[in-house]
Amino acid sequence: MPREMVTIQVGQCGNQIGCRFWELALREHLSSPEKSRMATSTSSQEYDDAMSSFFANDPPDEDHLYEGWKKTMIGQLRARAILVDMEESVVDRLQRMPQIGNLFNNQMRLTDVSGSGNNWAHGFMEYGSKYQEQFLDRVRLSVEECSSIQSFFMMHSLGGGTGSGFGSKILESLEDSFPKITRFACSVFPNDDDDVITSPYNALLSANKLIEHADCVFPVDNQALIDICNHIDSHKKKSQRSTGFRSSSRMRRQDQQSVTGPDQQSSGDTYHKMNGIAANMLLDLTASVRFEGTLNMDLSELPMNVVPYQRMHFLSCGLAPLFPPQQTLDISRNPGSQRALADMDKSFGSAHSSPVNQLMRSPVPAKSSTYLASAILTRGEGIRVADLERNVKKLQSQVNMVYWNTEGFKVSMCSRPPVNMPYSILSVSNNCCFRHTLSAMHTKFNRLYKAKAYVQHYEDYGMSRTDFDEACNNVLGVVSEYATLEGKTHPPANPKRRLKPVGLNFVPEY
Amino acid sequence: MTSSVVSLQVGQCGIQLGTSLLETIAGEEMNLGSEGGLSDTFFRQQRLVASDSYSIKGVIQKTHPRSVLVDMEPKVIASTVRSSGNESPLFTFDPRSCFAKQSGSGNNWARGYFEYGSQYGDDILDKVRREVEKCDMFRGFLVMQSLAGGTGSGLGARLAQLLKDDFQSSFLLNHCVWPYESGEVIVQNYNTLLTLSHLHDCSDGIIVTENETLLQTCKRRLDIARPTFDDLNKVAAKGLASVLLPAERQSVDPYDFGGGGGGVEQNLLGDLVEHLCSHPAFKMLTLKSAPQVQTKALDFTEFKWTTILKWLRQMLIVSSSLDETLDWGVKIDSGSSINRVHCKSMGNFLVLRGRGAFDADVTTFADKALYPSWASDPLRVMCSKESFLKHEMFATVVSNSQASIVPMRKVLDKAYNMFDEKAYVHHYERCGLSHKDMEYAFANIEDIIAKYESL
Repeated sequence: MPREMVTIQVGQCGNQIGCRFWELALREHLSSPEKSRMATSTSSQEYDDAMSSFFANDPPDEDHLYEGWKKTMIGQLRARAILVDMEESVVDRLQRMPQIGNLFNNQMRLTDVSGSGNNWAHGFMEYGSKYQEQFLDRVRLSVEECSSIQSFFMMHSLGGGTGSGFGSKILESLEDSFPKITRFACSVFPNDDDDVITSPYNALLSANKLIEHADCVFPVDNQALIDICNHIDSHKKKSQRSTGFRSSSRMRRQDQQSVTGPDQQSSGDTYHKMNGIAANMLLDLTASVRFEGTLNMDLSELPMNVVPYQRMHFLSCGLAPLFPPQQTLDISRNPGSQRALADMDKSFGSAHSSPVNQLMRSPVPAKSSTYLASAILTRGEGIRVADLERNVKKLQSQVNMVYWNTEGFKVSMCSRPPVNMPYSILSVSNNCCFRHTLSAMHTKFNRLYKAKAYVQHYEDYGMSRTDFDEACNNVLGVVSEYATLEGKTHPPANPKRRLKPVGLNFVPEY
Repeated sequence: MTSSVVSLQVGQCGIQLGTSLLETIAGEEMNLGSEGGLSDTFFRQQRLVASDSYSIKGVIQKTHPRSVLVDMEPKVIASTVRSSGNESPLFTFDPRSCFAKQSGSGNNWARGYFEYGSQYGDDILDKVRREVEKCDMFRGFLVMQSLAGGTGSGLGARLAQLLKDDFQSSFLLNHCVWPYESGEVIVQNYNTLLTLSHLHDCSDGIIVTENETLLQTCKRRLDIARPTFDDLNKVAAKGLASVLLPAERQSVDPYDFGGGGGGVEQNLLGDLVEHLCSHPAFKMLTLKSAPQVQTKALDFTEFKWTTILKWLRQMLIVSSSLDETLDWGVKIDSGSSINRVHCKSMGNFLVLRGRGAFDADVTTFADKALYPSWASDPLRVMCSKESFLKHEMFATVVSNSQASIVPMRKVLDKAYNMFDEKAYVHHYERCGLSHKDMEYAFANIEDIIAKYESL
């Protein structure tokens, strides 16, 4: 049985991403190749190992005997998730959703009625102390159901009050109560044109807590997601125009499969698509844990490989291909085709460093900045170890790596491709250019803080000025840590003294 | 009666390579047509409860290999046990000899060594002891692991120490897979150093196989454009299997009446360790084989012992593991060759398989200049007239030589760079490996390199 992950979705944004995530996760697990032969309804399917990392199962009364092996069939599936929001509407809507609604029950839900009013302090201080124990009880309940829990995955946004404030509290209390379980956070960073006036405060205060208490943070940016959606739309239009009128309806159906997931609602619903991209990133990230592959990667290997220093754990993600390649360019169907191979090689490059494919915009192009470490996670049988090796070597020569980590690529291969895609490549990289995002955040924070605007709303909930100053210094500390590593692509001229033999004995000299 | 070897396969790489090795050995032994099924060395004998008349001659019963599989995640072991039950007609793994846990080592050497080593060490050792008790005559251990990951390297090193503590009179041979230079795991340099340093303290011999070499062999010699891991494992298994199958000792020195002619030895491994690892400071072994030819081209290729041995010798001297693009400029007698110094060996263990192996001229390998001046009887030759894996002739040399200096130095340099900046150190410290411990590993490797350089 693979290791389990417990997902914690906090606030409106976190729950909306979560909603999309569960929809796609369910689709991925129910549409596996060997299962497609059987009926597609949940009732007659087997509950397999891969499924158990996301879903708990209450099996039906009778155990089915199948091919001599006792298999557990799917009874009532439950998501390993905890839904937290300080208002009810989003969680209510989620629980009423047709397909995924009954994945959740009231035991996993923690809600209040009044909301956090876009105030970090309200979420962190007041709700934090009020609901901490209730929250931990719910976590313990779901952890007890796991045979070997591996990680917590939190989805939240940094701009509002609940996701940022209560989310910070959650990370803190999880570290206290479960120090050995890895904590991942998928954090939506606020836009430049954010409509929440206090979002600079909220973002910086939660960034401070993310630095302290998370193991890895996957930053996601709304604008970047919108850009990806537009890119996919323009591709669709182009392919519709290029194909003749008669075949266009077939083409359209095929093209609607992209990283945004299937469009059930009207195509104008951009948020729906954007959340789909974030959800797909999470699925690709965890694929190697759930499914078999020739080079498995455990999620706990990710921080081990791409976080060289404890506080610098902000990992930008890139996805490619964004939509399935044409049939002739599909490497799994034409393994010998040179054009298909070239197309795949291109996907490696764009997942790693093309700005369009990144889930987080960067003020400075990532390619011109120094990489600390990267990971390439592939899905699909079309990609072989030799392809991986060739492309990683190419990437190593193209980007600036920090001098002590010139080969800094972690790779993993999972055999199972994503639904409706022949293969996918997810690149996760730790780049020095993230400091620009943090310092931009600080600039916006300072603009308000210089005038001490809105500070009294935070002080009402028991925060002091020193809390603001500390958070500010902490974030600036990480910015300067990143800055010192920027550009260190060559070893220093006079390296440190080495251990040298003294006769046949070796004594450390420093 | 033949002596037996218990193999321990640790981590994803160790399990996959070990399975490939056992399949090769089993396949070869069946080809040789031994009637009693698979030999005692690597496989348990079937004990028939009913009288012998029930077993029909020629029907092969599935036996269990004498091996213990250890991994910290279940997927690899599950699929290995499953596929050995279905596909391999010769043996199945005993599920009771498998040890899998859920959590994974996360590429962290310290977690494998400290956390899982102390948590599960006793349980795993129990399984090993059970396996040892099943042997009529137990000789030693073969531990297969990779150096890059967390389970094979960390837990593997700890298990090797525990084995040495418990079985002091048996030999302990480690087979380690050296990671790609371009890297599959970012912290592989740390992991490699820590593992080698610990193994060197407890093991009798460490055979090192480089992934890079295997890949190049597949690409250039076997014409596989995009090799898979399976292909790499097969190449590695082929080399190792040629050393492990039975052979007969041949005397090198015509006046030496003591050695040679002792009949066919079933288990070469004990001999190999005894012969090559006689000095506690020199334990790094490398393995080179020739010829590497595609299976389908074998029928059209003609081999001669003189050419094969000439290739092999040159591979040994220039320390290349690939039998092409050799630097023929390096010669032993031309003492004046500038900058190109040949690679010296502590000792060599030469295995020849195929027609006319006993008549092959191996005197070039006995050249005094290959060895340090103080080495006595540095060469041992084993021969077998049976062909190996459809190769008419196949030669392998395991040598305790300076060849391992270059890769070790590379890894050391990269690890120094990282260590100077204290990158990734906090992951290790969190699991109980202190800064001093890491320094000790660095010093230990420097020590090994310096000693090999002094040959």
